[in-house]
Amino acid sequence: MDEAELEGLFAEARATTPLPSGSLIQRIEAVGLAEQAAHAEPAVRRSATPPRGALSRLSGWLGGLGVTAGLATATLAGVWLGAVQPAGLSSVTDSVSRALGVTANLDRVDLIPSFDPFASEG
Amino acid sequence: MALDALSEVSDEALLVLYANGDQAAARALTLRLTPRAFGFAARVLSDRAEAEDVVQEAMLRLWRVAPEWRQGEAKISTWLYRVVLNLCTDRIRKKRPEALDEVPEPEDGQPGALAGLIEQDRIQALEAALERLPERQRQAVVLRHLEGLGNPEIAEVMDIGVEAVESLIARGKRSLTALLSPRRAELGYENEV
Repeated sequence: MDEAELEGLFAEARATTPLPSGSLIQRIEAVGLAEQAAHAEPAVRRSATPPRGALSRLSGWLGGLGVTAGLATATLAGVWLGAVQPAGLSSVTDSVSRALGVTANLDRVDLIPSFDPFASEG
Repeated sequence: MALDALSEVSDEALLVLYANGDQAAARALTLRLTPRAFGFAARVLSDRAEAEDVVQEAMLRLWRVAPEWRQGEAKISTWLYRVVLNLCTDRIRKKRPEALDEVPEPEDGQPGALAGLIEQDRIQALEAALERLPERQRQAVVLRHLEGLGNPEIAEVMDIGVEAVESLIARGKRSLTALLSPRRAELGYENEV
């Protein structure tokens, strides 16, 4: 047998390549789809499952935990400033008051005045 | 995406589509790659049932590697041939633990080289002769002459140099010639010259 005859034999063999069975094709495709679904499942679960708890839901509405934390900090700072009013803030408000010509203590409002002119009229 | 629309899409692009959840890509890849992998495995193993097991395992590895596949690093077909080859080698070595590459090559014109061969046609004679080759020679010859791969790709699949591939193929063909020559007349070559 020479080189040309061997090449001819290879060509004949190429034309009769062993083919896979239909069941093998089906099994491989089924496994492929199952693996694909398994890969996709965690992502779907992340997006489909709502976060639990009121704080989590609020965070979701407001755009995330970072925004919620910022809002909470600002709220607490406001309450603190309103309650104790640091000396620095008093000097600022006093200087603004003097500039505007206001002499009254703007930070002190008498909600229940002790002198009622209508009561003295009888 | 429809299957017809995927016929012109490269293997690599199909794998990306598959990883992104395209079911048609799974089918297209199965239909495109399974016959190639199976044909190769069946010729290397000379056993359809074992070839099916090997191809199933190789394709499972492809499905699993899809999300992490790095574009441009390797051709998918090359990667698959390599996986199939390694799985075939494992099976052959489990069945025949002796170092097959140390089997002496038959001498030219050795009488009775294919004695006991029942099949009469040329393809079966070639398959029987391929089965007699040392493992690496058979793999190289099948990849080059039956799967149609170029020597550089075979070198990548077999993880050896191109020169080593050329040497394996040359020795393999010499052995095939030696194995088949005694049956020349029987295989119908006497009348064709």
